[in-house]
Amino acid sequence: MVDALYSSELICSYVDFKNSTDKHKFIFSFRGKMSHAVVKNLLSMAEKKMDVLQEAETVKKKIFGVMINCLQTICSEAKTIEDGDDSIFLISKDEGGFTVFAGRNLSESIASKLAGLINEVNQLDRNSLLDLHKEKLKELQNIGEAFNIDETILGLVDIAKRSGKNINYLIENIESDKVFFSIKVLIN
Amino acid sequence: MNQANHDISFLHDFYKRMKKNQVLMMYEGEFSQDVTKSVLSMTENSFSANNVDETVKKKVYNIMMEALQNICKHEFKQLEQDLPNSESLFMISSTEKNFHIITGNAIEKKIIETIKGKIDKVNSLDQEGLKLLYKEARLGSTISSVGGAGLGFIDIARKSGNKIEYHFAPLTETIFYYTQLVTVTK
Repeated sequence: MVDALYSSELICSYVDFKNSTDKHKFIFSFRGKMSHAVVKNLLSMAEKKMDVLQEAETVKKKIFGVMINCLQTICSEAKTIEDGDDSIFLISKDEGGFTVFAGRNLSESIASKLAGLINEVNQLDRNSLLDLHKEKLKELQNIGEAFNIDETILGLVDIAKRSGKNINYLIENIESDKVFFSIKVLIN
Repeated sequence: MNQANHDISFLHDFYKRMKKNQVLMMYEGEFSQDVTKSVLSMTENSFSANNVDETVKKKVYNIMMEALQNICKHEFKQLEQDLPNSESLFMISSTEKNFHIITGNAIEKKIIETIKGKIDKVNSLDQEGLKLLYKEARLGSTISSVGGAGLGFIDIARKSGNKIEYHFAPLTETIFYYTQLVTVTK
């Protein structure tokens, strides 16, 4: 086969980057600050993409729910520890289904709390998840803070309910009191 | 099942590579009108959050529209389902001095020379030359000299003020992946 034809090294660096992502089969990815408007757009983009892929309404609903909760739980602006810290969000699709990924830099203490909550949620069966969801919804009505741990667990329970699978996470140390927290949810 | 796709440890690495290449957003797949609208709106919001100058914002926005329209016009749709790594692409990156708008799509080998000819032609002209070519192309008098009107490329070159970069890589003997990069100076 013939070699590539190109006009500059600059474009080659982006082609290399694109090629390195091909094996992951992303349908879209975003890196940046997750403002309310960006989240709204990500949701709208996912909706349009699902329409193009002609996915069933039930699958669309599941993905939508998981997306919202991942974005609120992991990428929320309230968890920013440093200016310039941004989040990454992506969705991939292969024969096993859709996978939602979210990641960002977090303080070690918030990451540990999140990990503890995910472990707690991962141990519950479907009925226990439903009971916990009801209980937390009731509690939430009495809480006025913008971000708190009860709201986080509600989001995680919702993710587990919708995906029907364990929530995977990974914590990687970056520097003192700063880690990169990744979450992965499979929907099929 | 694709194991690589289900390994979580790649995410941090991918985040770092996105950051290194200063990629803000990447979308792969079919570009329906609705998807295009969402991509444009997403970029607009990302700009608002980063206090981008209005003139630059407008330039990027217009170039994005042209580039996305070109994807719809030239992409080789028939093989998209079967040919690996042939999905259309939109990517935007933000470096200290520039925005880079990168688009990609599968094309038939036979149109490479036409596309390359149009780009080489506009890349050889200065702003005044581009203005003249644009006028002529609009009147339809130089269709053959630019290998089709090529209004989209002329418009992109005029708005960006920089050369249009291209990359053609073979997917098969007859199908190539065409990547285009347009730079807008901040």
